[in-house]
Amino acid sequence: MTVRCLLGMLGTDVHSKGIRTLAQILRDAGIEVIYIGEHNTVEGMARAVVDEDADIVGVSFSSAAYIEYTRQLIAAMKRLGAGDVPVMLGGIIHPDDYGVLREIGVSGIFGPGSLMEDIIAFVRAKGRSNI
Amino acid sequence: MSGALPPAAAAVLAGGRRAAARLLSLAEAGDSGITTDIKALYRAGGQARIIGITGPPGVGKSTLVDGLISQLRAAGKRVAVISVDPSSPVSGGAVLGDRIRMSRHAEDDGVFIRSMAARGTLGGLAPATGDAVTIFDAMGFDIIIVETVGVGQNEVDILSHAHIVLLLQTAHGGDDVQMVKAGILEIADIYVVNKADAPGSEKFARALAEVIAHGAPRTDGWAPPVLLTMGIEGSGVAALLDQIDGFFARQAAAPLAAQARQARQVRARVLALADAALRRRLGTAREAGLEALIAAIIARKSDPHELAAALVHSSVP
Repeated sequence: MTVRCLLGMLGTDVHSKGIRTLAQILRDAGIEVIYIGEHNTVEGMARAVVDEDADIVGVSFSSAAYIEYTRQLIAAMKRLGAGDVPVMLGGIIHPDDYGVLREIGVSGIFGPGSLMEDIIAFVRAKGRSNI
Repeated sequence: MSGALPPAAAAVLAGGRRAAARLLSLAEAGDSGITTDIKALYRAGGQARIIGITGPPGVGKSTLVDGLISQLRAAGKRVAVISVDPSSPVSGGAVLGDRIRMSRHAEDDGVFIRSMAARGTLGGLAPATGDAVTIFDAMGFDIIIVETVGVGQNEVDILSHAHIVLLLQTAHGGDDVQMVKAGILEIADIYVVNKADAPGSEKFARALAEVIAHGAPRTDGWAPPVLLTMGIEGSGVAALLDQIDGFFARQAAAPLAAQARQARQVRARVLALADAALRRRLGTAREAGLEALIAAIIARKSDPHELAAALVHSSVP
């Protein structure tokens, strides 16, 4: 089945250049990207994950609040019965926080210097027909 | 229906959003394992009004849908949206971005927005649009809005699904020669000139109204209006909803025309399903009987007409 990947940003973060580039690159890798842009609420994004039946959700952060936002997002997804959908993060994520983020339940972290081919391979592997 | 509903259909009828979303993905993948579910859901539906919205790219379809959702929700209606964007002809991937325009409804339980990729079809919709409508209808949504990909002149598949078709344009839609051309300009029940603050909008709307008035009268007696809207501010949306209500009132007063439209849509849906089934059988399936018949055609012991007739007739009970 075609892999569906939901991409967006939370809160006041507006640095969308990176995630838009990723949307295009995933498109060119044959993935259907549901792009929901900036200024989403945690609840709104979690509901979009359910309604769009996303195989994976990717959130880009350039602000410092990413641990709290990610914790809330995963909690909201669990509450809506979508706790099994993997979450990946990109943008400016400090390596010191990787451990905490993985404890929260983040499956993939792609900070500065990440290779696009690694992200593509990661997203492809999360397609449900590939599990 | 009796009590024995297939599990996915039962979950959808119970209002399960994840079950519905998953069923929709399976429909998109062409999974024949869900046919019994879709069949059961079809028989449970039939109450929803289906509003089709079409028009060129960037004309403001998604933004107008956002405005329609707001007013329909204020009137207590539950609204589902099927929003189609193109698939890449190169990679098969897509960027589905219509949700962005509707983000203020992201937390509303009475709204279900689903983005779909066109996946190689050329009629402006996704192959699973019919199944998506069936699912949302069975879930009890009062209104189902189907937004096509940005279309050109000739993509009219929306006619096979919607009870009413709105065609959006802007003042930049071309001159009155464009307006008398055959194709998409003939199919709308309501014409909308969006971004009405753009210079020339009123002139464009007048010219369009003139061309439509010169067209052949419709059998249902409806005279398609031309409306001006500014989707981004929501202006003109209330008037548009009034016209939509007026259209359905007119349909109710002309039941024969409405039934003929329904029958045309059922025919189109059956044709699409039969077409897909035949393509699967002839294209990918390797049936022993079929292989032998093809060999017989190659040997000139049979002919393509013979096999085509056999395929068409054999499956009808």
